[in-house]
Amino acid sequence: MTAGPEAGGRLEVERSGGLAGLRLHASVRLVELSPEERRALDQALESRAARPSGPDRFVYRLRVGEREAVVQEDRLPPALGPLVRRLGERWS
Amino acid sequence: MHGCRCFIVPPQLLERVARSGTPGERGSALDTLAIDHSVRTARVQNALLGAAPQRRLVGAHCGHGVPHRTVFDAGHLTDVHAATILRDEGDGPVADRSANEAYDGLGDTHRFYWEVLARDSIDDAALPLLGEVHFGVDYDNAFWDGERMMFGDGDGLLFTGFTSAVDVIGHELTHGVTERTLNLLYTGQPGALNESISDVFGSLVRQYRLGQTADQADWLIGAGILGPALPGEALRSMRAPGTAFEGDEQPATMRDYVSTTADNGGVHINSGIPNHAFYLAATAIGGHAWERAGRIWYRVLATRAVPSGARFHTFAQATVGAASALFGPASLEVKAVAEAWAEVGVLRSAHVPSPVAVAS
Repeated sequence: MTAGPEAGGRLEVERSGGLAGLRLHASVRLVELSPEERRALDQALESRAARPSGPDRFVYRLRVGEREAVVQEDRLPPALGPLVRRLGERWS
Repeated sequence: MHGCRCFIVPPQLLERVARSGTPGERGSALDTLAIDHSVRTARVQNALLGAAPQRRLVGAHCGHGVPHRTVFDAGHLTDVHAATILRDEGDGPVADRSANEAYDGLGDTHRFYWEVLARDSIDDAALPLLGEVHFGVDYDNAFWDGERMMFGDGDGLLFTGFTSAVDVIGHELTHGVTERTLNLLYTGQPGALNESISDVFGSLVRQYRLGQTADQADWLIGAGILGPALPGEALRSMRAPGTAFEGDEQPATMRDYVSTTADNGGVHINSGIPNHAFYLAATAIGGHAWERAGRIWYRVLATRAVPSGARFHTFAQATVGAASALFGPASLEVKAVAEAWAEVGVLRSAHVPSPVAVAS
């Protein structure tokens, strides 16, 4: 097998902030992501940390292997919205 | 409207007219007296708060101090401001329960700020209060976006909704007040102060509505909105930070301060420390928490007594200064506030501010 390190990799998501300030985690195998989600994720992982978008908004920390980015809720690429909602069923 | 007659007509004369005038004169005089009374209250409070009473008096006379609420239906969208109005100012209750709760909560918050602190809405200039309910799909949050208050419905697991908690509504609108006064940075310690100020006044909105004294209040934030996946009684406890729900990480004192990069540097975590300081000060002072402790905290905002990057220590000193300005340097209030901050480890326990040090 010559699969790259990411082929069996996972996206780890931490959601913090919100009015409640809960810190929740979820993860998903990268192979479960659509090509569009993979592209949006790649872009998000390259983004630089932005200033907080406003009080009580969610903050997402996305991590795939060594790559990590903190993305404020309103900067989350729209293509990742459905993914984050799906992950909402797996928060722990 | 009444114009500004009450500036020049002595209340005694109005009272005489009210007793002996024609029915028309009597009604008019009674209206004027009622307004005059609220203005008088506002005048005393403004003086206490160090605000500019003349400006406020004019505002009060010309019919300010009334809310202008509009609740919209976000229609489960998140990317645009909604245009569909569910309930507008003066409308009776509608079929949508969230809309009614939001409308009432916005009203309670407005009433608190006006009656207790003589602040006319978020900007102290009668800013209309706009809310949107049904924001997003299963959205587990509520927030102030700088113009509107957004309410998710909750996913039914973590949260069952947000509009039923008047302290949550007070919390969110207070973010607007903080933004227009101290404009505290939303990260680290200034961010935690920003959060705490929202909890403090959110809790006071609820205590004021319920008519509770500091001893009677439960000092919880968001009681009753937690779903089955989040066992507990509320989002936060100001009396006992860290005990509101299973997994509540809030510290009560500096010894347990949490260093984290999550949540913009733990703004909802470390807010437990200033929250607990307010609780300690308010219960030590006794009575209705909004009457003295609340005014002390509000004076720091109204007089913009700390910079936007203020840390706990700076804010604590400012509250001691505000207590001194309002109640005198040797007052019970100054002692209670200084001791509260000492107990949570922000001020040194020996810290007894001299009148010179706290002069504003």
